[in-house]
Amino acid sequence: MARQWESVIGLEVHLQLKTGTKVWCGCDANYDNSEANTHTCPICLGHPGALPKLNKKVVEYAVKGALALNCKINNISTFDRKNYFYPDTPKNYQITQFETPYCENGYLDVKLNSGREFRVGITRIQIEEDAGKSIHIGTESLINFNRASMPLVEIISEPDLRSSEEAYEYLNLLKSTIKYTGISDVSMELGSLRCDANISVMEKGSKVYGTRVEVKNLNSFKAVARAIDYEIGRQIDAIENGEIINQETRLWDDDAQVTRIMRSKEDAMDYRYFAEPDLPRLVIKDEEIERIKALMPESKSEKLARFINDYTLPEYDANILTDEIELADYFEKVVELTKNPKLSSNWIMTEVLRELKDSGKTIEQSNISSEDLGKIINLIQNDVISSKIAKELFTKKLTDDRDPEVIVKEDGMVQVVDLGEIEGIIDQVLNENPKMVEDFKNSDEGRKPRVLKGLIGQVMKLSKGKANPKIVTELMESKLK
Amino acid sequence: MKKIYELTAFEIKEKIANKELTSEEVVTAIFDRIEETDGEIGSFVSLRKDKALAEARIIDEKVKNGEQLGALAGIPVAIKDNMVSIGEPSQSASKILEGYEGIYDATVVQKLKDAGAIIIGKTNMDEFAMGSTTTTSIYEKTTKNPWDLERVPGGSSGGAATSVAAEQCFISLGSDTGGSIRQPASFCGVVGLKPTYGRISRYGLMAFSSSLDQIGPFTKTVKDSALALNILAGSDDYDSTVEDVEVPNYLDYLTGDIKGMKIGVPKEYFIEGLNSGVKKVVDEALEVFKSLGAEIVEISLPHTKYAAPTYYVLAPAEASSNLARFDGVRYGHRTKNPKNIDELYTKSRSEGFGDEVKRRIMIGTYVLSAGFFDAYFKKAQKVRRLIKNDFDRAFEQVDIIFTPVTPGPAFRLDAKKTPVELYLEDIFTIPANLAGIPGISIPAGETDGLPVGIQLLGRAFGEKDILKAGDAFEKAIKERV
Repeated sequence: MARQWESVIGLEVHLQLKTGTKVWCGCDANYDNSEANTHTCPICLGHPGALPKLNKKVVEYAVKGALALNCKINNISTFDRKNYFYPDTPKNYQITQFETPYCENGYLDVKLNSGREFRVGITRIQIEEDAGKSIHIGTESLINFNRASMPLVEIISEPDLRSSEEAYEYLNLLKSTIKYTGISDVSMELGSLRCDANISVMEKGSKVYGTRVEVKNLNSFKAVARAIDYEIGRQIDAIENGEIINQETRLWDDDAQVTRIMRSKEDAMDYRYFAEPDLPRLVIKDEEIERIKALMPESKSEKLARFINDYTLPEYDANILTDEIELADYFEKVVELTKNPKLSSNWIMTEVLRELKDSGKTIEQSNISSEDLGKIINLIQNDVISSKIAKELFTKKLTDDRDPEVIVKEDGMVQVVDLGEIEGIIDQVLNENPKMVEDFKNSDEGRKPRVLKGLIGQVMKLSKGKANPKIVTELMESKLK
Repeated sequence: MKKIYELTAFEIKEKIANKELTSEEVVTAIFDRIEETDGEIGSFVSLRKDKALAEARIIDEKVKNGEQLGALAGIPVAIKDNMVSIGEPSQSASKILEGYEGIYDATVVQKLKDAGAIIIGKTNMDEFAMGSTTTTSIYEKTTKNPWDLERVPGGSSGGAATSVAAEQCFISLGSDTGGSIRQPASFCGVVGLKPTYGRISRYGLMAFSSSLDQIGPFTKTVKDSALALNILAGSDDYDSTVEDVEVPNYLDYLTGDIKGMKIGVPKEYFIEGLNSGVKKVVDEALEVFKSLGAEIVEISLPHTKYAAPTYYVLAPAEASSNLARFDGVRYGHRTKNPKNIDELYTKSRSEGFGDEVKRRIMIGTYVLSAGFFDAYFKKAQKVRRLIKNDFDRAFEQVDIIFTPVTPGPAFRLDAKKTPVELYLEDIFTIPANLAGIPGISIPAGETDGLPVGIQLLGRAFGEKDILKAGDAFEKAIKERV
């Protein structure tokens, strides 16, 4: 019988906190499109004599993250130096938390598409600083220190994940949970979320974990999943071929879709960790934790419950709308305008989400702002346009910068409610379709509505969809009596 | 009548305020004195005569206009080369910082400027404050003891000590990691104060050993020392290891009355090998304290013998990390045409650092390395705690502690001591750094024409006690002469 294998995966996730200023100095952290090395000072450049000073907002944000991930916050934690030479690390040591992190023992309950739920333990979260960025052009190497000393938290999970699917869903939940706290952009594209995976395999039922391999250079959630699958396969093959798995660090090559060795255990760095003497221990009192707790924005589960209770939305709708905080915010803005939660939800779940899927845009990049959608829905509610016209309007708005109300007016999309005008069209239809009128009169009660629908359809077609369907129906019914 | 350079800082301060002297006259007299003497003494590594004179004229203008004056207005002050000042050479006597100019002001420099002091230049030192002779400096000049030009001035703040001893300025700043203020003060016959760890900001002091380093003043009198400490002490936004403890007016404590003060004399400091001349001066000093009505109490600091080995584990460990930033990447010396990044590092550092610094970096790297961390660094931290506990217990019984400063007087420049012999120069001064308590070295007499100091140690933030006792002692011995 073939040997059965089980994989064990733990993830290390780095999040950049959007605190406005860097972790040890007052440098502006919004350096996105700035010229290289313009967001720097003696402290983040590691000039002689410069000392770090902890940014209080970093602690607040870090605590928010810890609370969202159900962690226990340590009242006293310490900073340590991790020593290694690298050109983009100005001090040639990184200040991090090693001996005692500010937070430990958290968890996230992850639900898979299959409906199976499982818990991923969070071993610890530590506060640390980011490095600068090296840029290699030909034989020249340049360094941009704008990112140096940006605040990070590193979230280290327990080895509780068993497959790439589990890892993928854990990352998604982690991302949306953190997004709800507002402490980070959590974007792999922007570099504010980075992930390394620790992967090992063992024989099914074994109590001893296999040798762990660390995989770095994972640039998307999909890359994380693929790298895990590749690495599991590679390790199983190796063991089955009688090879020994070495403790090593590997890089994911996204082009070739393989992992490659970066360094073996033998070349592993000796970081010479020791207590950072320039920073006092970090004291976070219980009152401080309570204060920050009070500042926490609504969590995903709180929002879900509120959507179901206050807006009387079905759980299905509420779940989709609260999946991402941006979508939930969008929905709430639309409802504020329309005062009609269910209709707003319907529009978002069908038209808006379809459009996002087609265009590959995020809700924030969408051409239909919450104001636009609110206006479109209100045009329906005020009988200015029909639902059908509204869909046309929605499509038009995707490439049209004008206000929806203006488009409706200027492009003559307004619904016809004038009784005389509608009567004229009805008469025309009745005159032009004597057979259908005859059919209606001869039909039994069961068939009549179908024939009626056909006649109304003709009227709508002739009015180019602009006639008010309610008025058309009422008038048509009375004419045929 | 006394010459200008013979006056004390306090006398200068009063004469400028009373318009008996202008700051310009004082600064001119000081630069004349430097010109006349520094060829032989070698205190200074850079001077800023023109800027100093211009600043002096601004002070004089203020005096003329009756404007409020800072506490050090118009007083020439010298700074040790390891303190950063904006636009001025700041090099820690190291080749690795050849040509480096500060891009900001150290907090102490800023405080001196704010108090109206006139900074006249930077003083010579042992490279990165490692040494007790001022002979490990990269500068070609040798700083000599003004009492005997064939003898060392002590170190590492040798130039700072000689600048006051040779009356080339009225206050100079040194740094003291294991005795680097007190030992040269004793060798050169001036007052040297190492305050409590966390009393004065280290921001802008090029770190040797962050948990031990402290800045302090050299002065001609204890009263001048109190005057300087009034300005230098206190919390700082840029150094979070500075404690927010109120700064008293230290001058208020200089009453001369120490009747009933309990002075502890630790038996462990009166070892075999204590030079007989030094012993005689120290014994006589103790008699002076008795005659002033102080109560002498024999105490024990049982872990004293472990202080030097503990220090020579901890200080190099921190130094190895602190000096990692000097790598040739961002500033300072870079080797020519390195083949790759590793060569850039190793060659820049091999060329840039002197032997003593390299020796300590290697010791420090070793004691922090994975296999030896527990055996050396961790153990040393525990012993440090025991040494601190010794002092805590002692200060339950006594107000201050009295000891010799060094085992002998200044030795000859050609004495050819081994590194270990030199390390033992600091055995009486190191414990105060490990415990973080304040210590002051005060001239007490001479042996063979060389000055000998005594050391007074106080409880943490008890500078007022040692200044009070030191001032009373100084007044008493001046009366005798």
